[in-house]
Amino acid sequence: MEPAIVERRQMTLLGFSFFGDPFASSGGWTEENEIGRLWKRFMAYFVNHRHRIKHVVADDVMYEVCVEHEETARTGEFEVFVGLEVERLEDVPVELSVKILPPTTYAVFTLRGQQIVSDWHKLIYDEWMSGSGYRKAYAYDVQRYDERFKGVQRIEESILDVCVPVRR
Amino acid sequence: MPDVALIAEAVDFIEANLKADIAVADMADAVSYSLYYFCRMFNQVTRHTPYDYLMRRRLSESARALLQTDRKIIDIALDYQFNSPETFSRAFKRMFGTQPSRLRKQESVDGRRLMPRLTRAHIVHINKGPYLRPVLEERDAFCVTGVMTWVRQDRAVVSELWDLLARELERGGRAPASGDYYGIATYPEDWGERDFLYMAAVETQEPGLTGPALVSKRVPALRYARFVHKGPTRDLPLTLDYVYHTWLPRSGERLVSSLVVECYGRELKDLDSEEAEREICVPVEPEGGDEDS
Repeated sequence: MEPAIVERRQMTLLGFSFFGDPFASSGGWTEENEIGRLWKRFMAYFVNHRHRIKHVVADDVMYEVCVEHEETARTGEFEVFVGLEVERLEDVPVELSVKILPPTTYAVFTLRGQQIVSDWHKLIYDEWMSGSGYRKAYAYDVQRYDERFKGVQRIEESILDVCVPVRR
Repeated sequence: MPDVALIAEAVDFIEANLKADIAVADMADAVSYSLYYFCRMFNQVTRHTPYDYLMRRRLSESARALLQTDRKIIDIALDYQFNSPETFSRAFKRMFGTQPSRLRKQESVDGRRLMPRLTRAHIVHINKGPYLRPVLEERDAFCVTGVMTWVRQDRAVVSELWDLLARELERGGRAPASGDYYGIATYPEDWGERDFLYMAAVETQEPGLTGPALVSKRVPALRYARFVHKGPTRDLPLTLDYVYHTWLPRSGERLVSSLVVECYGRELKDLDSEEAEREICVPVEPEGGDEDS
């Protein structure tokens, strides 16, 4: 798994977030866990109120951001944010949250099929990173969903980019 | 697919470290998963978050220590990695509905509240299928007649009791009435952790069948969570542990009676086969209000 190394300016995302152990209700790769519910809520909002979200960069690119907080290692609780990127903030509806990701270098891994539902954190952070000369730059990572991702039901045909903030 | 054997290893790691300062990240490391993947897999296999499992096990073992030792409450709290008596009390009350000091004075606990460690048998059992999802329902009062005994550590006596019931019914020279068969377990508050009274019975009209060894009992109208237990009689504790420790805490319900009713329908057959199914009805009511008043 060799990543592309790309520089990105600050990213501004609008969406919904969850903090906790998102698998408390169901650990499966179904929509029943909290990440699935978060996506469902966001997609419903997006479909019904698209016009409320101004300056969207791309309608067909969605992001899922996993953020480690102080208690993450101890309790297994973390933040999950789902949303889309906007050029700038204007008239942000109160139901939406804003997530600002710092300008940074990302190692971008393109996952295919079963790789998407595998333990790719392990592959990236333990296996790739240890021999790469890179370190983790921030305690978050970004999954970038575009038209190449066909859904959990069609995982074999799906492609997902995972972006990990890194520094030398 | 989750690796059940690895998750069982993670449980071993947790059990060996209940008194140590471990984080969920350490559990993930112990089985070489990333933290995220570990949380997902642990939940999928055990139906607990790793942190919830750790806390429930620490609290259950601390409750045992309160009852079985003279160790000071503060020391027990520290043993199990609770930083202050307040944190310990709060968590303790959430799980047991009472303060540690009060539990010690009571000198006993409803054994069903203490979460035992998850064994490989538990893990295999709860992953057999989706049948461990309950239906909530009201049931009218009904009368049963049968034979009863005190079950201590050895549950084999339950099977013997069913044989005894069949003989008693035969001796009476009658077909076993028209009713369904019921196993009724009662858990008196002040009994040992795994002790209960068990009645093997058949539904009867009042005043019921009579015979030298037979007793009658009226089960009141109650609201139940009805589960299906799939598997032999000896695996019943696996289903009950799931009900009390995995389903109940996040169901929004709480136990209301010391009864558990097993429903067998009109015929008792092959109760010791892997395919046998029976209903397990646990009386519950919606949570709310303060138990510890």
